[in-house]
Amino acid sequence: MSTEHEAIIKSGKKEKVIKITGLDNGMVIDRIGEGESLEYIKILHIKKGDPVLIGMYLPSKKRGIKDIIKMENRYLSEEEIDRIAVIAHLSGKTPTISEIRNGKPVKKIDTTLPQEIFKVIRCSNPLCICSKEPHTTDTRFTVIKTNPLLIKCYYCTRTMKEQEITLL
Amino acid sequence: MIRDGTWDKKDFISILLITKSEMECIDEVAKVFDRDIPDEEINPKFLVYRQKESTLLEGKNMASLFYEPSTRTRLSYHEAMKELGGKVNGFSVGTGSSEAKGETIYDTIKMVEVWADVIVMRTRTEGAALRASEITHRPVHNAGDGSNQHPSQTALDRYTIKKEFGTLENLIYTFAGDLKYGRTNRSLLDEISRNNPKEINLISHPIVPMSDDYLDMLRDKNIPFYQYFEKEKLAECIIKSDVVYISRPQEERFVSIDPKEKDEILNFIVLTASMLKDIPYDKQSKSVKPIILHPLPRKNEIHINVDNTPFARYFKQAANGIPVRKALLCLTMGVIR
Repeated sequence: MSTEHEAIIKSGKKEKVIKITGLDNGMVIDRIGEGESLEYIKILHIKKGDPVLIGMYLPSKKRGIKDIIKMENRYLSEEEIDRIAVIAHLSGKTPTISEIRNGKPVKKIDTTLPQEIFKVIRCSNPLCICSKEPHTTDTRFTVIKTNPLLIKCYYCTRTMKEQEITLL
Repeated sequence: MIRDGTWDKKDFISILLITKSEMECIDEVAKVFDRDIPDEEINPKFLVYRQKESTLLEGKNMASLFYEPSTRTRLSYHEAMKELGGKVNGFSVGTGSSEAKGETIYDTIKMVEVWADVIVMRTRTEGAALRASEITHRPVHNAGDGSNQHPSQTALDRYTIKKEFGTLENLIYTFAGDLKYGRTNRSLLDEISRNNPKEINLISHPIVPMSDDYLDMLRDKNIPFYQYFEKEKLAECIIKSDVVYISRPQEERFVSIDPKEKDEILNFIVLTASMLKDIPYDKQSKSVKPIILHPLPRKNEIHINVDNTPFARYFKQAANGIPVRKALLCLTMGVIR
């Protein structure tokens, strides 16, 4: 199976095919909600020299319109996958993540919200140890409810509702 | 009946991290150090510790890190340590800590673990004791962390209630005062809620109510509870309660409350002897209800004329702090197993 993506774009009466080249090795984050790819790019800390392709507002059979990110020779850490899971949960549009090796998808990565979220969300309590000493204390939250999202800080035990959540 | 709880923790951080069996264990060991309790009421396996009480912690050092003011908790931890033969070193707010120089709790813990066998800390920072317990292999006691938890207070509150009623179960509780910022209310509610209470009444000024997560917890556990925002409800609830737990408005945590409302909160709960005068009690009987508890210090929420009524228990409650904290020190340091 090729990892190349095609999108047919209509411009007036004309149709144009945009090809997004496949990867040899790396990660594809596909079916991102429309216009949300930049939110993901923000948290991925792309370094100079990392080849990345971003497709935005592309027609999609399953989603209608989607964004897509392809990263060559770049793999996601567990922490980054958790971050993606949180953004996806808040936006309500869950992307698919595939790991590519030698031009073929070898693994689908689960982006459902984990039960415990580490180093992703900022505690809204300014008196919490993870807010006051962020250099020595990583944030850690337990998911209490998923719909609507309700999480609890491991350290100060304060609960946070969906609208209070901000990412680090 | 002597219940034989088991202890399996290095630290004493939060009631939620301590099992019911471990709480039973604290009660049993506290009896060893409680001079009101005769030898025959002590678990025989612990009796030996009563005989060697003054040397149990010989050669052990306690780091006493009080970043926030404290009188009862700090002094009773110190007294407990000293009476067990141990030594105390440390600081209380504004006296000799490097916090003012910007030292992190992480670095302070790394420093004191070199010489301390146990670390007792009170902070404004919430979750600090829990974080400290991850940093060090030494036992850490949370002596209060902001508005979060105050578990040793809960251990002594529980001990006091059990001493009066023999159980925590099937009792009617009334909490009155600052339920939003008062950490002792939250900690005690955690403990009571797993001990099958008959009913819980929560009375506060509407600006300082019990937090939603605790109300949800009570709902989830199907515990009958009533929330009131009228001061007149106090007299009504006192009559039906077994335990009335009053707490001080945490004025120091009122950052964004306007002065008029602050004044209203400060004068919202005021218990006087006249509110108790019609409650029947048997002068011959030792058991009285309701008992009035308060973690102290008080401002004007309990008038001093309540002190001489048969219902006041807050000074006895404070005195129970020493045997309970002795038990906690011995258990976390592994001196009593």
